[in-house]
Formats: sequence, structure tokens, C-alpha cells
Amino acid sequence: MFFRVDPSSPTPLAEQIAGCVRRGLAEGLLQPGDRLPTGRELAGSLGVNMHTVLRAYAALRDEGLVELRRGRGATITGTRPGDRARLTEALRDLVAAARQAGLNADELVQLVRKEYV
Amino acid sequence: MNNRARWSVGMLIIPGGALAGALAAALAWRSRLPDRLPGVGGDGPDATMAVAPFVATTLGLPAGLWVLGLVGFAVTTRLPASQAHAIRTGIQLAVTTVTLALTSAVIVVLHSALDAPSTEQASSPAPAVAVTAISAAALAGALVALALAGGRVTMPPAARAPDRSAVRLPLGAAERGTWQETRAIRPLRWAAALLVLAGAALTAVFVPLVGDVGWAMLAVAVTGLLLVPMHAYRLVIDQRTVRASYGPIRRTVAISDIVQAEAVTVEPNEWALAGMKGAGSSMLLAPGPALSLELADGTTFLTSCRDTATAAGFINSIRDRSA
Repeated sequence: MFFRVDPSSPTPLAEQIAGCVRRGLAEGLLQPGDRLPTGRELAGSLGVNMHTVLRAYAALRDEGLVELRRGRGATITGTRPGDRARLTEALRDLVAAARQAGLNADELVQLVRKEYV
Repeated sequence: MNNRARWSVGMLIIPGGALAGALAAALAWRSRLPDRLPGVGGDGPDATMAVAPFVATTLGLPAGLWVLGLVGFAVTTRLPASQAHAIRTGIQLAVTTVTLALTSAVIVVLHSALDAPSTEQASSPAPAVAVTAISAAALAGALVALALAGGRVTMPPAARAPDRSAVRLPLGAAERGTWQETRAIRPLRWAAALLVLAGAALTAVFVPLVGDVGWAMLAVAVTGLLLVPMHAYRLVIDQRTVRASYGPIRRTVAISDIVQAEAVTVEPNEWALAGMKGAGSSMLLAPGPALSLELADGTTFLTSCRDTATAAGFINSIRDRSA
């Protein structure tokens, strides 16, 4: 699967890496049982700190999407309905765009409510 | 260690050292050996063979293969870098494996007959010990040959950027990416386990039934063990290299050596004949989508990939940056 990070983005690098995994799950590129690259390897390929990758994996573990085992890296354990995963991902992009535009959470929620009507 | 040094160790020092070592052992033990060796050189358990012809025959084969291999190495200098590297790896693998297996066979056979007063009283090596020692030497030779060959081919960097029509992945100026793919090949894993179990069971059944010949069934288990490392395929693409590996078989291509990448579909008949297109030209697990890399030495490398459009677009975008 494809991992991409943009150091110039306001979204934290760990969140960007976790987002790549969520997108991979949503698009069916990742299946339960698949192994993610080790923290050291992914950090080396992306040119980021290993702890950044491990922070992303820990967030995915907390969401029940991966299992972390010492010495064996991260293994995909969870799946989520494609629509919901895509929505979560789109929401993250929306929040990032809102931050960039200088909107706070309340203002963004108001905009979303307006769209719903 | 540079390329020349690695090829020298794999094709000169290891085979030469093993042959010289086995020959030196045979010469040093000459006065302590009986005239003829039992259990070699013919049919049946009573067959015997004189020491000198046994040593000459058993060491002559790898020596001949070694010379042929050196000639093959010289011939490959006319080929594109990728093909030359693949053929040299194959030659080094064959020469080192056969040489270490047969030199260890000579040492095992001679050692077991040391200090025997006559041929009748000389003992043959225990089959289990002989099979284990020779297999271990052959396996070690194969692994060292592959490790020394490495997966990276040295070639002049690509002279031009990818075509305008080539697929690209939009990347921000500071954006970095990596394609990471690992595939477990479960049928191979099961086949390996089955062969190991079948080999052990057959050996246990045949040794009591037919005697020492039954130890040959261990070869089935050894084949299973050799398949174990081949259970996973891995493809990694980052800012600097494309790395494909299938067990101990590895290929690393520098991004700067790639002219352009393309997403292609390999038909079953093309997949079946892929190995005949040129040594080291593909690493395809199955027919279907594949990543095609046009290289600076004029060759093409095909490798399996789950999302060929993304991978090819990423490589072309990275090439644009470096061009």
C-alpha cells in the first residue's frame, strides 16, 4: 500500500501515516492478517522519526485496526465498513482544510449543519 | 565491499579455497588411508574404489564447473548490466553450491576411513551424518553465493526523464512517499511443511525396510526446508530504490537507473514464458497486473504489484524530481 507524508501540512505526521492505513483498509488494499512494515523500515523510507510511525501504529491499535506485537511489527486485525472509513478519512481532510482556513471546531460544525439542511 | 571484490570472493576465493582445502586434506591423509575406500564407486554395499580416482573424480567435477563458470563470467561482459548480473548470480550459485557439496563429500568419506588397517576394516560415513553434512555445506554455499551476488545492479544512470504521457502521481513539493507490499504465499508454506513431514516419515519407514539407502528420503525433507524462505514476496518503493524480494532472491533497482515505469497486465502465456525473455527480467508471482520498469541499460524488469497505477505513477513522479 502507499504511504505518503507531507511535512509542510498542518496535520501531524503520525496522523498522516495512520490515515494512509485507514485509506488502505477502506480501499481493500489491506486485509486482516496483512503485516504493516516495521516502524524502523517505514520511518527510513519516509524519512521520519521511528517514534512518529510507532505513534501512528499505536493510534490504529487503539481503534482496533491493528495488533502490535514486540518484534513482529503491526498486523491488520480489524476491518470497518468501507463507507464509514471513507467518511472518517474525508472528515480528517475537512478538519485539516478548516484549520488551514482558520476556522475553529464550532464554526466548522455550523458549516456542516448548514450543508445538512 | 565493491562489486568486483564480491564477485572475486564468490567465484575465486570460495570455490578455489574449498577445492584446495579438500585436495590438501586428501594429500595430508594419504598415508593414513587404506588403498581402497568402501561403499563408493559402484553398485552394492561391497563396492570399493581406489583413493586417488575417487578424489580426482569427485573434485574434478566442481573444478570443471568452476572453469566453465569463469568462462561464463567473461562472456557476460557483452550483455546488458541486468542480464549479466542475473547470469553471474546463477553461475556463482551453481559453482559454489556444487563445489562445497562435493568437497565436503570428499572430506566426510576420507575422514571416516582414516587409520583403517585395510579396506575391509574401513568404515563408510554414517548416511545420516553424510547427508546432513553435504546438505548443510550445499545450503551454506547457496546462501553465501546469493548474499555475495547481492540484488543491486550497477549501471549508468538513466539519461532521460519519463515520457510526458507516462502515468504520474500528484505529489506536493515536500511530500514523501513509499509503496510497501508484502504477500504471504500460503500454498508454498503448506507445501514446505508437507515435504518436511513426508521426508521425515518416509525416512522413518524406509530405513528399517531397505537399510541405509532409505536415508536418501531425507532429500525430500531437505527440499521442504529449502522452500521455507520462499514463502513471502515483498515490494518496497521509496525515494531512492525499488526493492523486490522473493525469499533469498532479491532485486534492487535505483530510481536513478529507471527511465520510466508503466502499469501492465501480464497474460498467462506471457507469465509462463517470462523467464525465457532474459535472465533476471522478471519477478512475477502470477499472471495479472505487473509493474514494468524500463531501465537505463535497455532492459525491462517486470514485478508483481497490487496497485500498479499508483506504484508506476509514484516512480515516474520521483524520477521527474531527480531529472
